[in-house]
Amino acid sequence: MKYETVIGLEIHAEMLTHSKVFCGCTAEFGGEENTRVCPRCSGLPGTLPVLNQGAVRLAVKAGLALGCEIHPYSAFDRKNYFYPDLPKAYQITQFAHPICTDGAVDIGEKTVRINRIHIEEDAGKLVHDDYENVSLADYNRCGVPLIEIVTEPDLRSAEEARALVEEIALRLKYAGVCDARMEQGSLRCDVNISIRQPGETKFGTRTEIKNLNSLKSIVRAIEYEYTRQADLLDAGRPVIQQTLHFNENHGTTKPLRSKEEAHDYRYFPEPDIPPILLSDADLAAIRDDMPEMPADRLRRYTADYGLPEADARQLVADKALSDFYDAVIAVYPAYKPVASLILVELLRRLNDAGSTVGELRFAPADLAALVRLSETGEISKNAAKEILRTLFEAGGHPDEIAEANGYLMNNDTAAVEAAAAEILAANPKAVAEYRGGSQKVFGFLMGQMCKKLGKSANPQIIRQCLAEALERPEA
Amino acid sequence: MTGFDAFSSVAALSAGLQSRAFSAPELTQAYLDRIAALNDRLNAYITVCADEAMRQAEAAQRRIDAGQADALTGIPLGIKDNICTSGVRTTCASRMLETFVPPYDATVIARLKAQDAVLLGKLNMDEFAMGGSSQTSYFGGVKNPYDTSRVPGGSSGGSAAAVAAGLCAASLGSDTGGSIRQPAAFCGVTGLKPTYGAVSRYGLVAFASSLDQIGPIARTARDCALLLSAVAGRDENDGTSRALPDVDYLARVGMSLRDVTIGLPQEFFEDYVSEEVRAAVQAAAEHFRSLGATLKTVSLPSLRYAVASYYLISSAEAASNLSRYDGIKYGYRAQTGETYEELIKNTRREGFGSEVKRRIVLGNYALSSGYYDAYYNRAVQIRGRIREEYAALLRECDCILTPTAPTVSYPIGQQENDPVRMYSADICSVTANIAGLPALSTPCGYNAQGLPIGMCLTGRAFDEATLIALADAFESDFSRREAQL
Amino acid sequence: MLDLDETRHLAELSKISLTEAELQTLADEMEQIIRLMDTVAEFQSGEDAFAVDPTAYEALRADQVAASMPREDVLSNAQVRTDACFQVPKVV
Repeated sequence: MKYETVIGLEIHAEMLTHSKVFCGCTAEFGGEENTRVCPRCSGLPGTLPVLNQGAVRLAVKAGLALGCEIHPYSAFDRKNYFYPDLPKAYQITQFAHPICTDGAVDIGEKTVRINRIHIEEDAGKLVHDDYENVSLADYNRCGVPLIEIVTEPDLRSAEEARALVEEIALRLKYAGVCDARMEQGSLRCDVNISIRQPGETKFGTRTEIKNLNSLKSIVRAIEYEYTRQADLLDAGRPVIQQTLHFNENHGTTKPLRSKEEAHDYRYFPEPDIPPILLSDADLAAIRDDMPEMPADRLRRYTADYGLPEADARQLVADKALSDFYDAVIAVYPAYKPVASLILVELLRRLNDAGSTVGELRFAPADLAALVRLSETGEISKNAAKEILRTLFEAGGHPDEIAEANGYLMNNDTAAVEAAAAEILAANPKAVAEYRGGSQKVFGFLMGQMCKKLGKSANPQIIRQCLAEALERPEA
Repeated sequence: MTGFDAFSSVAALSAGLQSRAFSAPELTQAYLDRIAALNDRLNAYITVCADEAMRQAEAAQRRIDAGQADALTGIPLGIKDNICTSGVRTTCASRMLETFVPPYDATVIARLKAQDAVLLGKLNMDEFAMGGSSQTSYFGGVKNPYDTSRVPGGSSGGSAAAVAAGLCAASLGSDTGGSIRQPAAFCGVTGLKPTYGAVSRYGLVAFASSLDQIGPIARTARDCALLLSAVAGRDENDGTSRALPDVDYLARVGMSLRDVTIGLPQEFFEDYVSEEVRAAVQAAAEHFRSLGATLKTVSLPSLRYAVASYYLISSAEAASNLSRYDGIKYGYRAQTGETYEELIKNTRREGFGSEVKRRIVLGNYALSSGYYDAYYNRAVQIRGRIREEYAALLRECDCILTPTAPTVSYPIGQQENDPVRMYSADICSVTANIAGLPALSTPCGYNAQGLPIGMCLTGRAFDEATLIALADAFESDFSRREAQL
Repeated sequence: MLDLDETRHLAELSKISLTEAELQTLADEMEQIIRLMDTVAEFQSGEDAFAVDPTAYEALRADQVAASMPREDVLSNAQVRTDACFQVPKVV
């Protein structure tokens, strides 16, 4: 690339509290319009915000997950502007004293610095009716608690940006802070991007692309904007500082209405909410309550369970899948076989069907039972795959399915030995050929054995007994 | 009326109700009759809730009959029209909220209802509580019962006039820079601004969030105590409200004044205070001395910055608090406006009066980029200094005594349209709000025209009991003159 | 000093529409008011901080859901609305 790209991100994540950040309305996603609203979050005269302890706790967890310094003292400010999705005409946020600063997230070899994480309230939703030329406002989302994560401009490519968002999303999911469902809008990303000559230390003029809601959009938007800015600079024209909107369909960025530019937010301390003070004990308690993070889980899978790194990474990257894995091995700790079954067979079926772990028709205990049957030699590998297919399509329990379909193998060696004796007696020519050095005839004899013993005989045992019988010298 | 009259105290009315000298419905009806007879002359009420008040009176009577009355059961009260009353329009004396009916009760209202008090109606005021004359109301100005050609003071002018004229037994007002105390002084009644955080602001339509407090206006200091007891205390709906240790606001009434030191800050007695007011307040100070108190001349050097600091902070908060009035969710909505922007700009043009607009513009000026440090930030620093100066004063004294306002009531039309003159007149009252301290105004004299003069006692945080006791002691020896209507 | 352009800008920030004549009147009034406000410039600041008493984390509101308002109450004071929503002229 001719120019160096410099990227910083602002990520808004909706926190998984029960109630909204400043009132008791549910913070759940969805709902019929304006049914999750109260006098406070609809900005009625005389109402006052009351801070949700859970929002503070989750913001601290986000800070811990991203390696930040947690500030025991933090405070709220008002950000004043007019828009129909903002009932009070100000957003309560943290401007001067955010709860977290100075974090870091590694993506591969690179460390990306986190400038700050602060708590703020979400705005409502607008639906635009072009026919009637009106916009309709739904306040259900007003007051849902957000954290805003601001990175330093350390990113240098669309791929790095994508990787960082993925990693942050993963950590927030593991920390229980956010479900990071970009398609639902619980995680949104603004991109600040500028370009400069390689080697230049000063930053170029940056533009801001707002509200990207998928990893793919982030990449496409950055790539488009790089080209747009590069073309400008090549033509000797300046990049104008503006706020842009990314059009998904066209793959292009366009300036938002210029009036957006002129915002003077007139930040001042929020007089209705005293500053918060977290004690050492509070912080310690929250720290102790941190769930296992991806890096720790990776270590557990590789160091403790001996899973190959690639397999472990693949599992960890999908929290629902690795939670499922953990539940299975809690019942039956055959770490590698379970991993194998999940990563090869189960994942394939999930991808083919386009379904999620949450939609599985069977429980982790069932998969544990299946693996046990396979590991103890009660069923063959092929039978295991068949049983998994049944579980996937219809649910059920492996023991019952194996029984019903005759998959259970008979491990009674005596019967097999007896059969071996019979087959050898009935096929002297073949035996002689084998003893004469022909390996091929072993297969024929195996076939005879299987035919005699039927499906339920364990092929491994047949093989072993046959081989032993053949090795025995003639009586 | 038997057993009571329009000027009976809440305490006396409560005793009368409980001793069955008269009934709650009788009492309420008497007030409603008086309102019907006199309100036109004073314009104290914006909304009268006759039917609902009678229903409340009947419920109160049932409770009295069951022997379960509280101090305010059956007592007819007026409520300033910036306090939300569920199902009853709450206008803030503004066109912007002319049709606004809150779907919830302010916490203070809920607490009054819990005692089965009777709410007679909503009292007139300066628009959005911004003013010192109660003449900026969209519903017409309020008149002073002592002289209906004069202002009752503001912004709780209706609350003070109603008490002075016997149109309610007591009332609730709100005070951001003097809006309870100054009208109480102009109307010859007693008004108390509690310590910031003592009374929940949930349901008080916000003017300046770090300065506003709801408080009582009544005929006596003890009545103020009764009202305050009913409504004060921690509210989980207001993050700035404080938990109060078991406080009895009447605990010090009757105490000896021998151990009391009253400070007189010299900056409050300079030439900008009229001669007649200075004389009355100084005489009051001497009276406290005769009751055994020690007087001390003290100083509040930063008083000279107080008006500017107050107006910058209150206007900044007000500008932000009033941004929500755009006609979209509630209230007045302009008929014209092709775009969202035009619509809200027209709504606010038509919905707000000029004083409100001035304050909003001043507030945005103070907060705007380039001016924040020089104005808003500096005002906050001054606030810190004034708070410290008070803290030092109140280590030496139990309270301070000052005029409530620099002058007595003045003729309607004389100065309400001169913002600088109006703002400057707040000098005696704003520092109590800036410092968050309790302050009580009580009548201490009448001028040659018979117009009331008020003095103000400002005390330590959460020490309303001392102020009430001192005012009560003064009252006992003070000859009150009722308004002649 | 508060000139006409600054007043216009402030009226815009405040989202209040004013005629030219009204702007001029406001500018004149603001000029006088700000002169009064300029007293603060004479204040010599020291260590003055206006600090608000903080709230302890443990005293914060527990994260529990409380009932929301019925939709009809939410919308009841709006002059222009649909069954379900507030309505404004279309914004981009």
